[in-house]
This record gives sequence, structure tokens and C-alpha cells, in this order.
Amino acid sequence: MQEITLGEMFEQLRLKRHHTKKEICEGLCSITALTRYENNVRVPDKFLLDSILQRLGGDLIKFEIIVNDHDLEIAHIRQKIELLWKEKDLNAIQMQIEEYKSIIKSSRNLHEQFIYEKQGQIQEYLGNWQAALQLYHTSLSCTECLNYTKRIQYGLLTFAEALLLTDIGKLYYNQEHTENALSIFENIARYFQMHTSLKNKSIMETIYIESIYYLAKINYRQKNWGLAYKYTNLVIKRQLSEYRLQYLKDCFYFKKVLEIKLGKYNPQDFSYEKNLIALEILQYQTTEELERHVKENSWENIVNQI
Amino acid sequence: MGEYSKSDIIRYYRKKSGMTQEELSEGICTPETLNRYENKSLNPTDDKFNLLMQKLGKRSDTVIFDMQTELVNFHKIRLIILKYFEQGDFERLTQLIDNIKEKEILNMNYPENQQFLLRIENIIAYQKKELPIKDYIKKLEDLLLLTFPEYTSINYETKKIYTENEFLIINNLATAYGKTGAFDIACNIFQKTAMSLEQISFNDYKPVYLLLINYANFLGINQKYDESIKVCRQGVEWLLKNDRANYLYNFFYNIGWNMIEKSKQNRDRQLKNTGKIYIWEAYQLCQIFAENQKAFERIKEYYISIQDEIS
Repeated sequence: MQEITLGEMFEQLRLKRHHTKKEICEGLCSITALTRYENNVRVPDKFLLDSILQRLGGDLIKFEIIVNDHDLEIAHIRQKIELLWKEKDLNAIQMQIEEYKSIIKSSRNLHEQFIYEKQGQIQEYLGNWQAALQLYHTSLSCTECLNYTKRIQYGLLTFAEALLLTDIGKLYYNQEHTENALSIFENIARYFQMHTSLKNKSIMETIYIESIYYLAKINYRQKNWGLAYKYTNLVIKRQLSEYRLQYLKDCFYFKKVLEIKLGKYNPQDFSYEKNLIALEILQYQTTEELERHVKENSWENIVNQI
Repeated sequence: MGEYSKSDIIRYYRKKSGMTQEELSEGICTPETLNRYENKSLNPTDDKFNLLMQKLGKRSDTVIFDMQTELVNFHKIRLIILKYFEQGDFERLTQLIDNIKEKEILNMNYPENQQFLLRIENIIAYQKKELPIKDYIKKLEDLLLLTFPEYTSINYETKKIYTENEFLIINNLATAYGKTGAFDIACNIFQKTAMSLEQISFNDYKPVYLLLINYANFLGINQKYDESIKVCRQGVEWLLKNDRANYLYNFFYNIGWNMIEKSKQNRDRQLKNTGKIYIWEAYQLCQIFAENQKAFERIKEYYISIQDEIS
């Protein structure tokens, strides 16, 4: 009960979730290749392995994997790029990307997908949204996911593909292409409703919440108060039950505004005020900041009674 | 196609088995040659590789995932163990652990498995007062030394990379030393480990939370109010960074408590009021993220008690 071969594990997981080989390997590798992996004839590299595992059900399973030097090097470059992206050091990122490209040996499609996505994010950041969109689409095509509606309805997504879709959705939203944004986020939400086991503390959970959040914003923008209210409450409910803070402040605020619009608001209910203040206070890192904001906003009355 | 580097496999399994290079290489090649295999300056032939793998008890024709405490099925059991542990359900826990040992669900030859299971056993024994604290400390240290041979309690220095098990044991040790009054030892272990948090990336946020809250409590009890507050802020920052709100209330509560205690020393009215705001915050957070009824009651009681003191 201790050791299992990789191939056996792939097969077990695939059969357990009733997927076909085609669904698992679409855009990643050939069915022949996947068969070889399941029969332990060959071993996939780390990135292909991760992608296959993600299609098999997200990273719910932890492993110790011995990675060869080459994959390790690429993994490090990816990490560096992510860090540099946080600091928006575009030149350094470009250099890392060049180095990355030069050492790719296998699973070229997966690496190119990553690179195109990053380049898309850079273009978006620089304000070239059309170039960004183009790059995102190219990135999707690396794993044959351009026709994402079809893929969502009949197939499976890797994390990278799901992230790309949210990138595109957010881009459309920010560029006021609300219909397109709506279509993408509705699709993503639909995917999660079809694969409920994915909602589980992995990156897919974050993607799901983000799409619901954007559906709330989009419907708000389109003045569909009822739908916006429904999605807002959904985000609040999930985030609270998962003890996550992201979007919570926005959603509490939305909720209040929508209740006023829908005529549901109860002015005697101060819980919103308290919640919003509590969430605000979280971000003050020093006592001085806290004291100053309490004073500026005249919160003394509220924070002096529980 | 991707191949797992033979050198990595040899070294990984050799270290796991506890063999030295001399022991492993005996009858197959010289220790120097084995060393060259391991640091990739020489590639072993398939024959040599097979012999080495055989000696290590591994098949060499397929790549094997050594799932130790992270077995696909054991992952669930592990979660259940941790759940009972948090709830303090020692009876069920002891039963489950005995079951695991009997049915050999875990291979206890692997040090990680020993650390995982025996740490919990020792904690239970200590909490049930069946194990005096000095013995408890000794047992934990023995477990830790299995994979962290450089560990010493005095002049403790951190490792570069921890496993979650090691980290949890270190946390337990520091807390225990704190309880025995060995302030310097506890402080040193807590401080050095807390400083190394940047490099840590566990799947679970809880070990880091536990370390920081224990450290903060330890400092607060020893009247190091400012230091405790600083650790709490580190905790808040860390939880926010990881978007985990469960235990935020606890850090805010501690900050408030520390401020109020400190304000008693120099009768600082302003500080006390600010401390109260932190307690208010803890109360709100406890409500929003309904986590723990007991904690909620405790905070409420404390808030009311400090209210009464205000003239």
C-alpha cells in the first residue's frame, strides 16, 4: 500500500472520473503518448505531468517528485518571471523569457503557452490591449483551446487554460466589451458547475470565485440588479465559508448598494457598517494609521461597542 | 521524453535508506565512483544503476512515487487525524493511530512518517499528563534529529529547508521550552524560525500560523508586549498575504491584550483605548468568519471586562 507506478495512478484517476484519454490529453500530447505513460513505457516531463494531473482533477494530490535538472531550471525561471512580474520589471522579464526560450527541450507547447500569456499580460499593462488579446489567443491555441466554448462543454481545462480565460475575460471587461466578458465568465462558471469536485482550495477555486465576482460586476454594469445581487451573495457566501478575504469588502459594499436599489435595505441594520470597518482596519499596519483613520472617519462610536 | 535523472534517484533513495556512500557502493563500485554518479560527473551504466537500485530495494524499470505521509489515501487519513487533534478528541485519535500502526498503513521506516505519527502521540501523552514535560521535550528532539541532525536546543540555528513535520516539531519544542521557563532557548528557537519564514512554502498555512501565535503568546506572557505585538503583526501580514482569514482574530486579540496589559504599567489611557479597538476588531472578525464559538465567547467576555474598567 505504499508505492504505485505513475502509469497506474494516471489510469486509476482517469477511470475514476470517467474521462476518456482524448479528454485528458487534448492539446497536451497524443493519445499514443498518454497510453505509453499509462503503461509505464515512458515518463512525462514535469510540466506535462502537472497538466495531465490538473485535467485529472486538479492538484488535490501531493507528491514528492524527483525532477530532472532541466525541468527544475525551467521551473526556477518561471518563478523568477512571476516575481519580476510582481515588480513590473519588464526588461528583466524579457531577458528571462529569452533564456527560457533557448532551453526548451520538450513539451514546447506548454512552455510557449506560458510565455505568450506573460507577454500578453505585459502588453495589457502597457495599454496595448489588442496586442494583448492576440497574445492570449495565441497562448490558448498552444493547447488547442481557441474554441473554448467547445472545450468547456465537451472537454477539460488545465489551470493555465482556465487562467488564460480569466485574463481574457478581465481584459474585455476593462475595455468595456461587456458582452464578450459576460460570455467568457458565464462559460467558466458553467465549467465549474459541471466539475464540482474542482472547487477545493486549489487555484481553480480562486478562478471560480473570480468569475462569479466578475459576473456580479458585469450584471451591475448592465443594471441587472437581481442577478448582480445573486452573484454578489454567492461570492460572499463562498468566501466566508472558505475564510477568504478577496473581494469581500467590495461585495459587502455592493450588497448594501444593491439592497438599496432593490428596496431591501434596512437602515436599522448596522452590520454592514461594522463589517466594512472591520475589513478596512485589517489593512492598517501601524497603530498610528489605525488611530488616524478611526478619527478621520468618525468611527469612534462604532468601535466602542460590540 | 523526460527522464528522471539517475543521479537524483540514487542520491534520494540512498539518503532515505540512511546508507552511506561506502555502504551502498560496496560490491558494486568504489565510493568515489558512486559519488561521481551522485553529483552527475559520471553517468552510471544501466547495469550499475540496476544493481544500485536493487540494493536500495527499488525497481529501476519504472519511476516510482514514494508517497509517504502524502499517500493518495493517507492524505484523507492525515486530515482526519489533524481534525481530531484540533478538536482534542484524544480517544478517537489514539484509536486511529493504533490502527495505522497495526495495519502498517504507514511505513515506519521512513523518518518522515515517524515524525508525523509519533509527534502527535507524544503530544497526546503530554496533554493527558502521562508524559512529563522534560521527557516530552526529549522525545520530540529525538524525532527531530532523525532528519535534522544538526539541531541543538542551545545555539539553535535554522535549516535551509524544512519539511512540515520538522517545522511543527520545532514549534512544539519552542513552546515546551517556554513552559519550562527556559526563556532564552525558547526565544532563540522561535525567533530564528520566525525569521526564516520567507523561504517557507508549505501547502498548509497552519504550521506558520501556529508558530507565530505560540511565539506571540510566549512573548506576551513574559511581558515582552512590544515584541509580541510585532510578531502578531507579522502573523497578520502573513495571513493576509495568503488570503487566509480564519485566525486573524487571534492576532488582533493578542495585539489588543498586549496593549492593554502594557497600558496598565504606565496608566496610558490612549494605549488602552487603542487596545480596545483591536479587541473590537477581533470580535468582528470572529463574527464575520465564524470559526470558533469558544474563542468568540472569550473575546466578548474580555471586551466586557475591560469596558467595566473604564471610568
